[in-house]
Amino acid sequence: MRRQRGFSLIEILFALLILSIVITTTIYMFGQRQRRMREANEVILAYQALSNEAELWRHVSFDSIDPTKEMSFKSTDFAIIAPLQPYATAVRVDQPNDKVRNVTLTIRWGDGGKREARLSIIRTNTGGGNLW
Amino acid sequence: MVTRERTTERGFTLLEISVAMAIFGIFLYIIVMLTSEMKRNEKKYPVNFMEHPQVSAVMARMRRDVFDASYYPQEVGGFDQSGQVLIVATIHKDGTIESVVYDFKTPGEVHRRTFLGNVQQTEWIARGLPVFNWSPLDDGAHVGVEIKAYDGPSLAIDQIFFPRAKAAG
Repeated sequence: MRRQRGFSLIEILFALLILSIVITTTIYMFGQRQRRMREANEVILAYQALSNEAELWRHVSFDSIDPTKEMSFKSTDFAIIAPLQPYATAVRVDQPNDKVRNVTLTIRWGDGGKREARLSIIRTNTGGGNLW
Repeated sequence: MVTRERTTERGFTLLEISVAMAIFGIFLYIIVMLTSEMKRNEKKYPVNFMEHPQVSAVMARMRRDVFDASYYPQEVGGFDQSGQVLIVATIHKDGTIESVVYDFKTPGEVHRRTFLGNVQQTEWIARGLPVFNWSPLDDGAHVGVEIKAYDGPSLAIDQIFFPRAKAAG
């Protein structure tokens, strides 16, 4: 008498469990890689916008950078950071002494503004209209 | 005489197959959900800078050249100033005026050529890049340049550079 049998349900379930662990791990790693690449791209975009903004802030006269007033970005074209929407921009001016004003430019985006890129420039009062 | 072999062979029951298929189905559903979410994200962020590692080198050289620009010549060495050709006159380290020509005419490439007078001195080529163009940018006090590059239909680069001294337009 020849006795043949197939796999039991337990065997099938166990095989599926192993298969699912392997595939889930692969998908998770792939997803992580995608997320990190996206985050890296976002940072590059944000720093382009910050770099442009810093370029504009380098040219304004020292006196126009008023630490007592609320300042905003001078750029009018934000197409480069459109993929980051919704985002928020902020300018902070500190004056450690009479001749120095620090301008800190910030962009926040993602998950309610949890991600942030920041760039600071130091302006000194050279006595002229601006640094140039 | 006919002998009849009795076997105990059996396949899977309907219940076993149903359970296995259900688990596999759930699993497939998860995979489809994850991949579709990845595709949505890719569409939202289509610019892939990792495909263009030379971009930072090009931008760094351009930033320095524009920063040192004293004026923007209309024509040098057979190249005319246009949206696809940026010409800046910079002060060379030995004090002479050196003209730098950025040629964006070949899609995916940026050629940086230096000229003394109309004689070409050097050529540097970056490949595997998005498609570049430039336009003048006047903030009232300075004439700068705005460099843009497109990765397919997407804006990948948008950078403004101003010279350190007031340059002629």
